[in-house]
Amino acid sequence: METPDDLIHQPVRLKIMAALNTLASNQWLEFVSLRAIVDTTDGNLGAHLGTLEGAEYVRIKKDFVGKKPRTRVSLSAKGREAFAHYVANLHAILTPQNIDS
Amino acid sequence: MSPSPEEAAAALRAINSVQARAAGFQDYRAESRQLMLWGVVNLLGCIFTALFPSLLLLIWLVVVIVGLLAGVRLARVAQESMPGIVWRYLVLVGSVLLFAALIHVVMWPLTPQQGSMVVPLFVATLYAIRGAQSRPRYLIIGTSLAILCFCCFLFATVHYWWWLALAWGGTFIVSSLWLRRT
Repeated sequence: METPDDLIHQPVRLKIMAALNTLASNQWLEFVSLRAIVDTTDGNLGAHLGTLEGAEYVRIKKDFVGKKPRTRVSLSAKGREAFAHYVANLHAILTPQNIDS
Repeated sequence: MSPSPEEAAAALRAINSVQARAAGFQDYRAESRQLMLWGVVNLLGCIFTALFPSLLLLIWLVVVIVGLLAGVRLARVAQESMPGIVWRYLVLVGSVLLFAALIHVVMWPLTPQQGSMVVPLFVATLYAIRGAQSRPRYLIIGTSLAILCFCCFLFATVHYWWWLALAWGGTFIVSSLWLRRT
């Protein structure tokens, strides 16, 4: 049996991936909205997003709305695939034959 | 190392919980824009009616058309992530307006005060049903709207339209701000 992706398994990163996975492939979520959903601090979220971006699981876009800076985040195709794989692995761990062994 | 079955189950529960939270968050955000819009529209409609009661029909015709156009514009912004949202929005608002028109025909003659209760009480019912089915904040919004508007109808004999502006438009605006907070 495969080991689930350790990068995603970390609790905050798991929440980030789960939240972004609810969006359509071309949809972006604002940093402040993601922070509210994940329920963490700016610094913590920024650090974990950096890790996920390094693995090319998320894409981060920074722009301005008027004079106000805005950061938006989206799940990449690679990230979506990794998350689906991660969830499949979790389900595999919970299959009766794996629990019995 | 592979997680234990307990850890795997906990991770899946965490995923479900975040996904439900994310879906609710996005739903509340989209709804909050519409509530703010219709809150302002109803507030203005009631205030203008209080100031120019003889122009009631014209006032509401104008504010509803302006609200509908602005609402479609808002719905178009969400079109990319929610295909078909503009048509669903038009059907929803059209149904509310048609319901109000038909109730007026069936129950005619209605006083302006009686007529002004049709839409807020119908919308309050829709929110209460939606809240009972999925998102609890809608139940609170629907209940508050119904209670405040009905109290206004029963007790606000003087300055009726000013009180209704607060009860109807005000409830929508406060609800909109509340939905923006997670």
